[in-house]
Amino acid sequence: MKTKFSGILTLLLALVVQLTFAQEKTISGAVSDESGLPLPGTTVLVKGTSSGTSTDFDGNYSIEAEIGDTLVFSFVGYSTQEIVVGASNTVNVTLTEDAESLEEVVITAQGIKAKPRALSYSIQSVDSGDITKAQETNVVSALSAKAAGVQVTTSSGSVGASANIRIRGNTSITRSNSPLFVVDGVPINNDSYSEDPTQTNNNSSLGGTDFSNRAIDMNSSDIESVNILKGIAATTLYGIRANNGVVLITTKKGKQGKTRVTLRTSASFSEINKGPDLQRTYAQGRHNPDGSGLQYRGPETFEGDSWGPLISDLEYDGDTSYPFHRNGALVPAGTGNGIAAQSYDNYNFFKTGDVFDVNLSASGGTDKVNYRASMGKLVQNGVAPNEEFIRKTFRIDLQAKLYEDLTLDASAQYSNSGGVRVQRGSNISGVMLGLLRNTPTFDMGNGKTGQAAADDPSSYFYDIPGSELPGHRSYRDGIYNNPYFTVSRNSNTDDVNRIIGKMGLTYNLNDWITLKTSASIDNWTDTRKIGFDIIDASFGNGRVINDVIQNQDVNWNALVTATKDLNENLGLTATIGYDGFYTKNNRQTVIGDGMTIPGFFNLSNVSTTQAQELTNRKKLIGAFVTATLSYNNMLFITPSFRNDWTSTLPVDENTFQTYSIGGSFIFSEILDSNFINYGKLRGSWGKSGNDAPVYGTLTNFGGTVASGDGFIQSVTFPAYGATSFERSGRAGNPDLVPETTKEFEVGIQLSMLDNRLKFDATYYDRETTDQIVPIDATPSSGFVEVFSNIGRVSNKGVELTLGGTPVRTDDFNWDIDVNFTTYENVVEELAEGLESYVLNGFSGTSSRAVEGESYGAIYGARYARNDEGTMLIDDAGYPLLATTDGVIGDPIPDFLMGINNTFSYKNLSLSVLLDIREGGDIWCGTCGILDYFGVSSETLLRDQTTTFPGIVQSTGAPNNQVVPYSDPTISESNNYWRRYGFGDVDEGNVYDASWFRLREVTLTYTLPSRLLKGTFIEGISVSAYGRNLYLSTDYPGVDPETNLTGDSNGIGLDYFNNPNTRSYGFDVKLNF
Amino acid sequence: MKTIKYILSIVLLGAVVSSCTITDVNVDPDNPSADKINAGAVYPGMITQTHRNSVALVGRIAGIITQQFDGLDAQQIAYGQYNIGESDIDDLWDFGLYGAGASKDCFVLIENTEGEVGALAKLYMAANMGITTSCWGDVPYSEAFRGDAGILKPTYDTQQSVYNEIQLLLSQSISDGVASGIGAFNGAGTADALDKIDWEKTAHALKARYYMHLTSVDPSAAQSALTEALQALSSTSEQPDFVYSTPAQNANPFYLFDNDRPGTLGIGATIQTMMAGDPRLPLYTSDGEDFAGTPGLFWGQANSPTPLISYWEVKFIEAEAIVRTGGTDADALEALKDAVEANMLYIGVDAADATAYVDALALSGTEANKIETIINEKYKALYGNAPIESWVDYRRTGFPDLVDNPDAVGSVNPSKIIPRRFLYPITERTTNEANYNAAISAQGGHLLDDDMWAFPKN
Repeated sequence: MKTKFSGILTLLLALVVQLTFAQEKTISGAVSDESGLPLPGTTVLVKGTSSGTSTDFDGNYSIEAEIGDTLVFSFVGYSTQEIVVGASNTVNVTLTEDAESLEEVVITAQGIKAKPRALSYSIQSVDSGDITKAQETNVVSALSAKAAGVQVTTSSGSVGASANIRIRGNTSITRSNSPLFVVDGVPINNDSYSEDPTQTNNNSSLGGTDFSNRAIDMNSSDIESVNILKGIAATTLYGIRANNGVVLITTKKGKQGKTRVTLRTSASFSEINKGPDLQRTYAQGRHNPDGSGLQYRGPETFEGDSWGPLISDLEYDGDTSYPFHRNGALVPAGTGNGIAAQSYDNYNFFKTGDVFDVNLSASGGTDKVNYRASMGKLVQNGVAPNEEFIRKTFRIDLQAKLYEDLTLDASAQYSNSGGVRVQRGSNISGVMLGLLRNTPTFDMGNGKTGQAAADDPSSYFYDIPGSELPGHRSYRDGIYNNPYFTVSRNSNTDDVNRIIGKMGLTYNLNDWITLKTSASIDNWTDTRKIGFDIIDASFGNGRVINDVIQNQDVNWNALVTATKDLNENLGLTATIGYDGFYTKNNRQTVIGDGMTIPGFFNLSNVSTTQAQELTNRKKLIGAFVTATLSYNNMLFITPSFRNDWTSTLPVDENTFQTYSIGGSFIFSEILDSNFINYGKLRGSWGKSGNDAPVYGTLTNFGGTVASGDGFIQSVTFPAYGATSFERSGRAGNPDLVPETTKEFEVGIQLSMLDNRLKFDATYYDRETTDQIVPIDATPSSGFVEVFSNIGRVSNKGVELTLGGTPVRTDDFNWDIDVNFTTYENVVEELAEGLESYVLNGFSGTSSRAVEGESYGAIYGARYARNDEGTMLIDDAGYPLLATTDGVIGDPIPDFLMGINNTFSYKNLSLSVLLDIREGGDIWCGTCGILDYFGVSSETLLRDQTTTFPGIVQSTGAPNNQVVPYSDPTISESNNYWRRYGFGDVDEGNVYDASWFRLREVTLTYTLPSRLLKGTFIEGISVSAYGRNLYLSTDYPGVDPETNLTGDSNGIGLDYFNNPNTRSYGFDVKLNF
Repeated sequence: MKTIKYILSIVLLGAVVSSCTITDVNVDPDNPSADKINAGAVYPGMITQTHRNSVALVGRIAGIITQQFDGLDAQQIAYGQYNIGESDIDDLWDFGLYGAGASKDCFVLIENTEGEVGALAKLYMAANMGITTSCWGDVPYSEAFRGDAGILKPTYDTQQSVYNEIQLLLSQSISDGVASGIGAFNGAGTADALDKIDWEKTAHALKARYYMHLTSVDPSAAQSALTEALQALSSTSEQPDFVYSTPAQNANPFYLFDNDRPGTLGIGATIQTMMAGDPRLPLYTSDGEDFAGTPGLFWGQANSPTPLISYWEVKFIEAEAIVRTGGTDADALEALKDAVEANMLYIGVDAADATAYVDALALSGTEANKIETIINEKYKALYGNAPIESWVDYRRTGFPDLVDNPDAVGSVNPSKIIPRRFLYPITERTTNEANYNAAISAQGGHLLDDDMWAFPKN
């Protein structure tokens, strides 16, 4: 690939050089403003050619041109000037300020451009520099901590892991809460699909891999800016599809002028940043059933506990044929070969990951055609051995004036992404389960660590005499996978090919009416291959899954915009239009079981297969109208309306209306203050909603799944040579109505001290009713779920941004931007008799909607308490378990804050992004299990005693019994960490996930242009950057920025999630 | 300029056309609607689920409770400590029986068919309701399964009426012509074996079983059971066996459990002590701990069968009923010997060993002594094929004479005794609260030490 790049580069360079040689004579001069100050960076073009330059720091330029050519001088905020080249070789120009163009325009819904002052809602922008700074692979992750009202949770540090983005919290209980992604005016797909399609009852997101959300197919280097539309007033014109806000992405475009080639290369390295603390004091084993104390029990017993004797009391027996340790089995000290027993650091499994990212783009244009073409390749190796993600992108953007008034806008993007993933979560074939549960006395890598151990089969295989197949060398003799087996023998690959094509036409009918239409197709195919090798813990006979997901989204729209000043004071901008959306998705899965050749994951190598096919289709048509009436450029009022027709609602009731009204008042216009340059008050009210899920109105029959037992796999028909169908466990509802969200938003925006201090505050209050929820049907009614319109979810929040330039001198600048988000997201009401609804999670612990509690409340087993909330203690002196499960944690943070500092000194700039999260709980399911098995460092308390605070239930007296955490004379199942069952009491494993982290640090040096004079290089900048370099948190598990259930509605769950990473690297950018 | 007008007109026209066809999109091409489904498409899944129910989740838990199994790790240890919560058994209720399970399939079949075509569904409905009521007491039936007809929150019927309903279903099944065997399915079993199953005798066998459940509360139960037993299965080849197969997910649930949750369950110490020297023991465990997955174990193979009800169970019922109705010891002993021998031969015990074993059997002492002998033998024979019935027998007769687990915890079982019932599942509590509470108060509680109507403590 690298050679290909250099080939293309040479070609482009040749082109540049050739252009440079087409000279006639050299014109030079200076460009200044009305007060005579130089205007550095003014673009100077020879009209009708692609030849151009820009002025230097002193406003000077020189350009090659012929007599009779027209030079065009342009600078943002100033009127453009054209000058015809005459005999003189010197052309000095004075540009005049253009008040109208000084105010930038922002892109709003449906691609309509608006002046910021006319907006009745808050809009937040993140520019290209901020997106590419930290070199996140996933553009969604790159938005972390950069915008108020936006919360991003990247599932884990696995390569290509999905990231979950929420704008103003969650509104819907079952529908997606992910915003609509729109690129250059057309929506793109951002779905994510979790793994195992056979696990219909056990939610598959709990135990598969962190598969990507499809926004990962965007190359961050192609992005010019991201605008985030938060409220309903901002998104009305997108109707039902934008109930959760919109992420409007604008890509980089070619600009009129000479060809500009940019080559950007970066390399970075990553390592895991945090994991649960493990004990290395006690060996594998149990309490001797005869009551005599601690007893060592090795891997050959298949037992999983580390409740054995002190490691320091053991030594090896010297039997070199023992498969689980090269020095032999462990025996009491004094009875073996005298070599003291060792303990091992399980985290040695992880290695240093790396990312190499190369991007090349060429852009330019004439007054007729602008173009930009780019390609990029990113190769990421994860922190787990063999983990890999590769993304190749190609994009081309073209704008052409077909006629004087007709502009064509076309783009095409191709991407190929995917890699080799590792499994995680509740999965005995996952990496983290086998890794963290591993007993400290078992050397998983058999003398090696990291990649070297993964590459050596002796770490996970051992010979069994008389058997062709080896044994599975793990601390439970194959009951859980050795993590090295998982990454070396099993396969989890995905390969996504995606093409997005778009074409649009804009026609300026006259100077106040514009017609615009566009159409796009977004097509992707995700081809996955999942293989479990023979002697895998879950599928010992081997399993191959071929899983193909195809998705096609088609979007089209047409709109007419009119802008006219009605009289001196009144102005009007109005748009009328319609759009359409059709999506079809097909997933075909073939599962093959019973492999013959180990490691050969092909359906020809299995003895039985089962197949499954799922198709979703949906069509949505909308018509909309909006108008902004302005008075004296000071008062603005904007009503908007949209009607949607959707295929998923009942036939006769398939329309839905979205509307809003908002206004803004630029009070600084009448204030005439030296302190406040700009001040705006804004307010809006709107109603939007969400349609029914696909096929939600129907009750059909589907293939029978015989289950009824969460411990074992289900029988999926066809089976036993027969097919079978059953009435769906989910009852469709032909009377569904759409979900409805109403929102009220007010805000103030201030710009002070010559724009050196900027402040924006927003308060919003939204409520969603008629939630469409497949609520747990009463199972005895013959259904497990029934779609219903129930419940009410409220969101209230405050978003603040503060920006300023505390220091501004000629050489040194300090800019600071702070964003602050706080919100309450409460399930106000559910259906009568419905106490809670599971959003995602396990049957034991889950993230739920519970009436009166925060959205996503963590629900599980809890301690018994009296009416005052004091814990009840049993007669033996241990806390009692409540007989029913309940809410044990609130995953919604108290506030989120991002603080971005940029210091620049001459050509050096340092940017530091701090990320603060206060409050919000996470269930550390991992912790409870590690306690259960006696491998967590908490279980070092096992030789201690304690008195549990509380009231003895039987006597009502305060508890004062001193009890041991663990009593070695009775079964370990009676100890504090096991007496409540597998995984301990959920409540005891819920932790505050507050954090303070140094999310991004970037140091950039731009080479002074004088150093590059005489070379073909126009600019060089070099950056060093780091991500997640520092993290402070009390959370005992992995990095609390984690989510087991990925881009789903479940939040706050951590169960053997893969760890997160810290990374550091450097980046070189060359402009030609 | 004209070009633009054309483009716009075309696009607008396209929109109008698509609006008309928009609802055609809302048809699921992969899941047929009810009018396309016939009975033959529903029977195999329903039958698979029913047989699975008796040996999967609650079968295993019943086996742990009655000490046929011991929990070795994780949740199975908790079950052995009688820490069986409302979300431990909900999977069977929600996905095995009512919500997405076999009883619901039976209901769909009964509702949509007539005569012979639905007769087998009535028989299976009776078997599923038998498991349901024997585990939970009062349960929904008369209003159940009708969520699509607007009955979203069914009331609970008394256990007594559910047992009456079971007998009624079985009588109707016989009169509707279950003998025809329409819909019959035996999994991976042979067509020949399927032909030999006698469904009418099976219906009588089930009638005998569910009369026998009521010996503590109905003085005529034993006589009714005896009458039915005499019309029931007369050989193991007539019994409705379901045969599992590979791959693992299609395997016998015991095998599958050992495969999916290795090292968490072992054969019980109690049953091994009781079976010391029994020629069946080497076929139950190879090392005193394993119960499945090892070659040579009868009930723990991927393709081990599960009968809906067995010939030997019928003969045990007959023996006990003879004792309870004052019949002769000789008749009772003969039935007992037939039961044990049939079980032994079925699982592959050498005929001579079986004969030697049954020849040593004797009935003597009080009626209770004789019943203890019969139930203890039944307990050994039902291992691996009908653990839930062993739990019923224990609660009904107190035999075998099990010792409460000394490590029992009192969370849902304050008196820490061998459980008398299960808690109602969490899903009923959260979705059907009023009826759930009414059922609990009507029965005086639903903790694991609260008795249900049919099985008062002796």
